[in-house]
Amino acid sequence: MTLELGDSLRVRALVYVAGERIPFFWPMRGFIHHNPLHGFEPLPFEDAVAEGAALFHARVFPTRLDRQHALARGEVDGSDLVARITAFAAARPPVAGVDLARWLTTLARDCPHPLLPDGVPSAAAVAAVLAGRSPEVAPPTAPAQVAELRTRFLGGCPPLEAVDALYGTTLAETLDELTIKSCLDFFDEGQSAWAMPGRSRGFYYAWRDLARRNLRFALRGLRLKQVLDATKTPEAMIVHVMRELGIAEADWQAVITRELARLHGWAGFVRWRAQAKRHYWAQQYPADLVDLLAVRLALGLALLRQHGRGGRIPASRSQLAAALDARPAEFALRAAFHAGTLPAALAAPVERALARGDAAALARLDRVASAQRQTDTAEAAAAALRALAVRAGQPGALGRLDAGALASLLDSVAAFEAAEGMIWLYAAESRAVHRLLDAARQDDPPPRPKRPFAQALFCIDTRSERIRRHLEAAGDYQTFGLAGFFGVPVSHMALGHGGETPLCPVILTPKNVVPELSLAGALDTSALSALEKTLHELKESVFSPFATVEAVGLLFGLDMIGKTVAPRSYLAWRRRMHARRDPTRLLIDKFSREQADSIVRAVQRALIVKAVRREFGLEAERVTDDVVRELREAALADAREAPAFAACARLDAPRVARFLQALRDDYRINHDFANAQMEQLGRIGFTLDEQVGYVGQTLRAIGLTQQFSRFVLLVGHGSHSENNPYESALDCGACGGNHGLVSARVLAAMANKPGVRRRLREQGIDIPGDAWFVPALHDTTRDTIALHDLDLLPSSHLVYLDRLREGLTAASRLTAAERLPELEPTPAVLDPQTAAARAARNALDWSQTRPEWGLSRNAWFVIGRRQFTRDATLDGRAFLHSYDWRLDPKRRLLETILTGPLVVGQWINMEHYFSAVDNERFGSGSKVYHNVAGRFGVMTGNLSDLRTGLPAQTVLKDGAPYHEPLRLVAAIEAPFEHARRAVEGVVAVKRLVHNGWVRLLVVDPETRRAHLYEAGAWHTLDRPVGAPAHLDFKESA
Amino acid sequence: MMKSLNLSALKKLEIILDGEHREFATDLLDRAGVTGYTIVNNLSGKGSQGFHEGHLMFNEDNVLVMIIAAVPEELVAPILDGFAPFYAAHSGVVFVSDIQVARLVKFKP
Repeated sequence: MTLELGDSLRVRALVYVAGERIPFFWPMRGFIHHNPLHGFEPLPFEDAVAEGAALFHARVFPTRLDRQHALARGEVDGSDLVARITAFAAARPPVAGVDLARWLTTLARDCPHPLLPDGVPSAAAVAAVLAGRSPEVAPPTAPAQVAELRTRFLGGCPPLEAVDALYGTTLAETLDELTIKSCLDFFDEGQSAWAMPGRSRGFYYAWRDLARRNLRFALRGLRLKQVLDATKTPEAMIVHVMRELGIAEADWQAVITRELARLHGWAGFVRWRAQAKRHYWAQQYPADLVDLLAVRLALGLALLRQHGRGGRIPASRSQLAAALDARPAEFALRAAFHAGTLPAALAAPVERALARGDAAALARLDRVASAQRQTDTAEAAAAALRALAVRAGQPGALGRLDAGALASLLDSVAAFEAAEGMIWLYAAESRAVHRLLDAARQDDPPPRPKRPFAQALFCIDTRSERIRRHLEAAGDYQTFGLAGFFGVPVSHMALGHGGETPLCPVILTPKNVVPELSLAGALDTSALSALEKTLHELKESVFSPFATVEAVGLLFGLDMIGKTVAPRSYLAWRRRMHARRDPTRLLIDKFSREQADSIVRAVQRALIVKAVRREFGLEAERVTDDVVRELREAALADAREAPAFAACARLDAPRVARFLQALRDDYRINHDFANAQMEQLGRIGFTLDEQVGYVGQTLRAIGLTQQFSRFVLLVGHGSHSENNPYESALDCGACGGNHGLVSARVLAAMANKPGVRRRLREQGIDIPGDAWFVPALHDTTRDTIALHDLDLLPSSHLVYLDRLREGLTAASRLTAAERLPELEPTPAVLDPQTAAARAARNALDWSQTRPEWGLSRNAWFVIGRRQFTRDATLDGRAFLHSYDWRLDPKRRLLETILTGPLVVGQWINMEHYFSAVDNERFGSGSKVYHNVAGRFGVMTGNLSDLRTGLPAQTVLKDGAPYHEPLRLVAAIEAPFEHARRAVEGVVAVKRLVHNGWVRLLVVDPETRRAHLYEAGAWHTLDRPVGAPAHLDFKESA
Repeated sequence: MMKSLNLSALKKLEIILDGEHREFATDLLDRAGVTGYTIVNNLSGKGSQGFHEGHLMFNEDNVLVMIIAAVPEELVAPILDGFAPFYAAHSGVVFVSDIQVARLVKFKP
């Protein structure tokens, strides 16, 4: 079978759209926080979680018991909870004699488990039980059964899942296993000793070649070759399998989404990888979701055929549909039997009847099972209702209800239990909203008579909140918050790394490359020979005179030389480099055209010398500059002669011509390649205009445009722990999961440049000559702040350095004293020095599974002046972004904060929410059982889906959520109209707010009123800002 | 002498979609054998979803982009076929128009 072009493209688009529900999986080394339901964000939160729960078979709200514990700890607004339940009850039909609001409130607060876990039983049956009679039960009807079976096992249900559910096989599990093994073979990044052949042809083709001859499959009895030979391309394979299985085209998308969701870690990884154009392995060995799906479907078809050979299992969906229609009783029993939900006494007779195919017996057993089930649920519901009536203080009420009223009560209870997750969520968020408003203040900051001793710009990360507070308290310090890439998207080439790392939020792609250069001089020879080996294999044996590993990587389009080929000597050299800590500089300026030109020419000359030695054994000293120049010019001019070279190497004309051709083809001495290299060099550094633009934009965004201190610290952050594949998750999200020091160094270098300052002065930002920007790193595991690039510090600043260090040390110890008790099994007050020592020990402890809590318990995102939350102790739970609306009349800065940092904050928040609520499905479970897979992810045990999300150690404590699952409460300090127009003016932000993915609060400094967006409208809150409102839930509830 | 004025008829596709789907769209065009295209980033404009800002500083996923490609007529139907499932799920639009091209050799796959 072959496909028309249009059909093939349509399959690709269909798979793309079907795959959008699957969250991206970023490789662990650059852990990116993301919303696992990002693909559902076009929907309102409530609908999205319902769909997400079904697709991923996951919990999307904390259990009622967890919420009750949170209520007891004061984390839920009790009066808001009661008000919401009362409003819910008021909207339901009244039930005579039942105080519905009271019953539902009691249910939520006092009953640990759902009252109707298995749906709504018949009211008549419950009434009978309540009256002490045995319930009359309705026999199952064939049409109802057929409809239910069709919904469950046709439509979007993956065919193997349907077979497993109805025949007790484990085909889908086997299919998962085979798919994972295929993925491990193909996606290995140098961890496995054996490399799958033919990988450069792409996942599907490489796998197909191997699978057609694979003994592993043949031994399993899979006739895979037969399936694979039916078609060639992955698109055609998808169509082939769908048609063979008789799946209607209207159902393809749903089936594909569910097939991919079964291994959503792997699917998310493939999705991510397919669009990561700069990822070395993706360039070498391409793969996308179409490949993955074709592999999976082909294996699935082969499995189904293998098991269907005896005719016991339907070979296609049309056969299954016919069987369901013809024998609904049998299939209802099959589903219940294999799901283990049949009453124990019926299991054996049902199994026998199924084996005999005894239709009459099955029909009878189906009636019995159905009756039993109805009786059981009615009895359970009746018992639970009785208990509830007692707890609600109306024990006699149930006896007085007629059948209609009882049905209405049951309906209301069921509706409440369906809506309960959102009600609790709102009530918990209400608590967070009020806590923030209690602590906020609305007065203007007192004017500063003189500039502060030092200013420090921190990342918005929640972990900055504590240390900023302590630093401010330690002396004359002013702090600011902004996204930790300091507004400069950089693609960084670390010294000896050989590849580019994007240092910015993942919603951006940096356009400028900043290489790090060593001041220590020549490179180690082992590094060069490692590099030479790599390049040799690529027929480009050269190291350039612009002799850094990164430059060669850049010029020849090699990514991640060090990581991929990973020669030991190279890695050892890197470690030595690292340990020596030679001073380095970042190349932040653009090359001039002449400089770039001379670099390319130098590379070409070096290549030619290398080529001559390799092809003719001529040593460098015999190849004079003139000869090299002649060869270079001849190669570039497409010439066939080089007389001086011919004489020196004693070659005849045809050999010279062949050599010139080789220079053009193999050594790439040609205009096209030179142009490409020039283009690459053009990516290095920033123009003066760009530098002025970035520095000005960053300072204006946070409202720092005057009174510059002698020290302006740019504090990036990073985590430090041993033996932790999740270390990157604790690093800076705004820097793409890397530590933030490089971004700080880049901005500092720009801001300290006289040329940049001159231009900024013309724009009204006057940075005085004695203000110096100093990059620093906040180690969030040890609570320390280390200053960097001090060798550049003007000597005039040295006398102040001690005072600065003392301030930083004080802040760091006080932060440790505040934070460490949260990590101890039993919280106790620690003195600052002991706390600091314990934090340092945690960072080095190889067996420490929880070196820090990271961003756990994040709750708020504050956009405003420091004054707004200055006195608030927000426990390291708030993202703080500096913003002064008075400097932003056109709302551009606010829009930038909302579309950039807030979006990243929302991803972090949702990642924590879902990892805390269902750690097995959305989180990655316990770190203790993790195995590193293929160098980019972890699996649980030897073979599992790639684990996504956060480990249990990050979000749970003693098995219960430590992170409080709330949607991010974002507060903007600005006039209401100003903020509202910024929010509603940008589609992306409006959608997030209107769909309820963040809770948005605007605190208006002019009217001193707070406005909250909820349920489609803005509401003005009836409470003051600053003074605590009356909120003690115990009294009001 | 007037060789350079020999014009050939082609179709122009203007494909507008959210920045986060750019790779998907260009991949589809590549696979259709389209030899080149131009991408305009950061579009501003009004559509069924409301007004789209074109100047988001720190978010490239949520700005609209336009991909402009000139293709021979026989590729139009397959490409539109290919985009159909995408536009069934996403906002955006494709304009198709007749154009004249001076250097035809640039547009032949």
